[in-house]
Amino acid sequence: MKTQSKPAAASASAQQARKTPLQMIVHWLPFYLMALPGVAYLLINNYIPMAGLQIAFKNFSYSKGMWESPWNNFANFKFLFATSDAFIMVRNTILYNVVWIALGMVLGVTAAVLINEVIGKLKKKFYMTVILLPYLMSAVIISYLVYAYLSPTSGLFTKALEGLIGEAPDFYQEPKWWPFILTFVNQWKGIGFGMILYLSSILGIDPSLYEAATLDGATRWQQHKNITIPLLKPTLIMMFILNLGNIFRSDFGLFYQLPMNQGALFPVTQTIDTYVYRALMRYNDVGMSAAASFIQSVVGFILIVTANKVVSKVDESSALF
Amino acid sequence: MKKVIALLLALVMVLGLAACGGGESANTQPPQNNQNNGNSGTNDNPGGESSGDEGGLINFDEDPYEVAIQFVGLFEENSDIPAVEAALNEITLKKINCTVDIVPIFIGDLPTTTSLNVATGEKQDIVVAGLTSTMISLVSDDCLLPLDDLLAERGQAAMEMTKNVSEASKIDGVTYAVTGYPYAALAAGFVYNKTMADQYGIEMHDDMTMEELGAAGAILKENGMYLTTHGNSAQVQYKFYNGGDYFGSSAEFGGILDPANSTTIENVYAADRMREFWKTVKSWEDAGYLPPDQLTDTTTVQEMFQAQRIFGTATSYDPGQLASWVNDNFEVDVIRLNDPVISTGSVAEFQLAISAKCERPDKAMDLINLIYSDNDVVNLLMYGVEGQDYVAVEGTENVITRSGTENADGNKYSTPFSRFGSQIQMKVLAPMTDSYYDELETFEASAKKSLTFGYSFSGDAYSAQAGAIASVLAERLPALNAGTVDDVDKAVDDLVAALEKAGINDCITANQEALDAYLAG
Repeated sequence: MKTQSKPAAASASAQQARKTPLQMIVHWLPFYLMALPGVAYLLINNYIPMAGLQIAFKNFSYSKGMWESPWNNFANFKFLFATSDAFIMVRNTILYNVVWIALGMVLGVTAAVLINEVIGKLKKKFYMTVILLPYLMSAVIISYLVYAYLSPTSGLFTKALEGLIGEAPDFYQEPKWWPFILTFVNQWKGIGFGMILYLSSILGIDPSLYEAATLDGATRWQQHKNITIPLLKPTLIMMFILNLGNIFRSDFGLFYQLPMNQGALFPVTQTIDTYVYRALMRYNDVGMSAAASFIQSVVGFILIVTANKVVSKVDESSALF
Repeated sequence: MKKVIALLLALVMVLGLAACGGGESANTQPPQNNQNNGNSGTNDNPGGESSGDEGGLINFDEDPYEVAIQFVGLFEENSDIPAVEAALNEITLKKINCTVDIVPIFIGDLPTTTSLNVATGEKQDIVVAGLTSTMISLVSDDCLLPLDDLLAERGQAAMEMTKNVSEASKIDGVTYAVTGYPYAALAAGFVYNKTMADQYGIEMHDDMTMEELGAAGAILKENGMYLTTHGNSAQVQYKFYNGGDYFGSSAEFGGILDPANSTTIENVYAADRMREFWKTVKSWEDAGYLPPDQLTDTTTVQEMFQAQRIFGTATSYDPGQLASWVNDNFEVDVIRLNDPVISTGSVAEFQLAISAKCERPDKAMDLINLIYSDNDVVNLLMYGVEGQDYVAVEGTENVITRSGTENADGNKYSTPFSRFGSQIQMKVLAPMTDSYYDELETFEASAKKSLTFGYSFSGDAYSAQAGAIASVLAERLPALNAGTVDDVDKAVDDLVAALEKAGINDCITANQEALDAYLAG
């Protein structure tokens, strides 16, 4: 809609204004019918479950159910913030997300640009498949792949280090390595998805811009700097805003499975999701879990709206809504 | 137009929510009590057991109700369940006019399955309480029915069989379960590979000390075997200290290490004997008696024992303990490490309760009562069908074996985590003998009863602290239990400091006050 020129939009709205309500319904009905499955999905999957948000404020009774359980105000929220763990898990969740959002953009765009440079359809497909493959793997499989490298007794990497320098760290007992390991694995796993997203935007760029730049003597680097990156800006901003909405959430599989549930690594692997999961596995308290999800959603919502507002002030055409 | 669409959307949402609400309320109908029409079942049990309808309470004119009963296990296939159900139904139809639906559940899914089934109204009648979540937490979540009236009306056999320990199944004076472990004396034990012990000349005996076990570890190491493993465990190593009363799933509300002589709740992680235990474990780890990758190896202790990768493991000790460990590949034995105690925990671990959403609590209670009055029902539930899942050992009265059957590995039918009826009703697996029943009585008589017997603590008001304490334990305990810390004293001091910061002392104070009030009557 934002790319539609103003005169054309004005003409369309003038035409609509002349139609009767019945004509309007007949005109738009097919579109609404087309949207119906999506709307139904949103309703069933995203809106109706919102009634469950009340569980965050209730002392949930399995027997009485969601509606009949008594209210307990904010008691469920104390669980998250009454302890010293709160700082560690919030810090981990936010810092990892900030680093990964920034790194994911840089590496995703880089991979997309490089893949775009590959000549030969078969080669391009091959590289794309290879880069995308980790994205399709489950965290459990990846955790065992990492274990095969880092196992204290038989890991390929640990054994190689022992052979080279005489000793290797016990990776599963030393937290200091895990910010790097988690970041590496996260990017290795996620780069393929980002690459496809950015590549689809790059393929939409008018080739004549590059041809003109080539005729003007621009180098490859200059072409990307002055054509590719500026034209990718709307996609980058959209991805940034959407990712901000998830900054209070973490990839549970990655943080839970990859460190093999090692307690010694909690200072750098405990996030809000893993903390809530571990506590719930013991105490089976649905109210606490609902409270944690409630906070994650509210913070995500606030961040998305704020970021979008800031973006719309700077560049209205890049804002999401 | 926008208003019309918005109204339509709102209508759909409201209808959707109303539909959900309707589902909830439909399941809150009170169960209809069965009416007595005077019919009674026939007692054709040769063992002289009751018919299950001594009071003439069973209505044989109605359609038989199917009672769903939880059957907790690991990953066994349990493909013989239909055969067991068929054999059970022959008895239950005649005696209590119901059929039985055995519902296998993986032990890890048990806590969520029970509560979610209550929430969704999924059919479940008889549930296992106390095994993975304490009975008190199930009660505070409204998952269980109070049983006093039902027991008085139609559970006489169950009451009689469990009367000595029934206090442990009560909360605030209300009975919520019937124990499957009425002979509740337990000690700490160490189950081991007897074939290996004989081969390497290792002498195992009751009351063995940790030092003596360490000496066995040295012999095993020379032969390329590991003594034991503690895995990646964030639990207090209670198997070495059975007989203690621990409050919460990992003593996060404190514990009493000597409950036969003390009613003082303490932070068990700060106790000197725990520190000594961890020092011993570290010496084992340093000496190479424990697998170096125990923290990251996800193989269970049972699997490692069966695969003969470890010599033995700490376990609960009672005369029937061997049944859980016997296999076809090597001979197994168990030693007792300390004196037996009858505690709330041992009674409460294996209990049968009735789900809060059970459609026919009367029929569920009829089945529970039948279990406690009919040995055939108990043995069917515990061991499967005779001739198919087990066979009698020649020359014995009540000894059986799975060897030689298709169920030799327990994969067709076995339940390591469920107990039905009293131990005195069950047959026993070889190498146990017919003397088991006398040993059980003697062992029970030799045990001291915990001074806090029957008491349990609801940690509901301290769930925030409990969550934080659990997190501290999960972070610091596995390395101590595995002996991989550099300095035990420092690690224990750090653990205790972190537990205190997480609020363990507040929990213990509240627990002690509640216990004192309970003891004061």
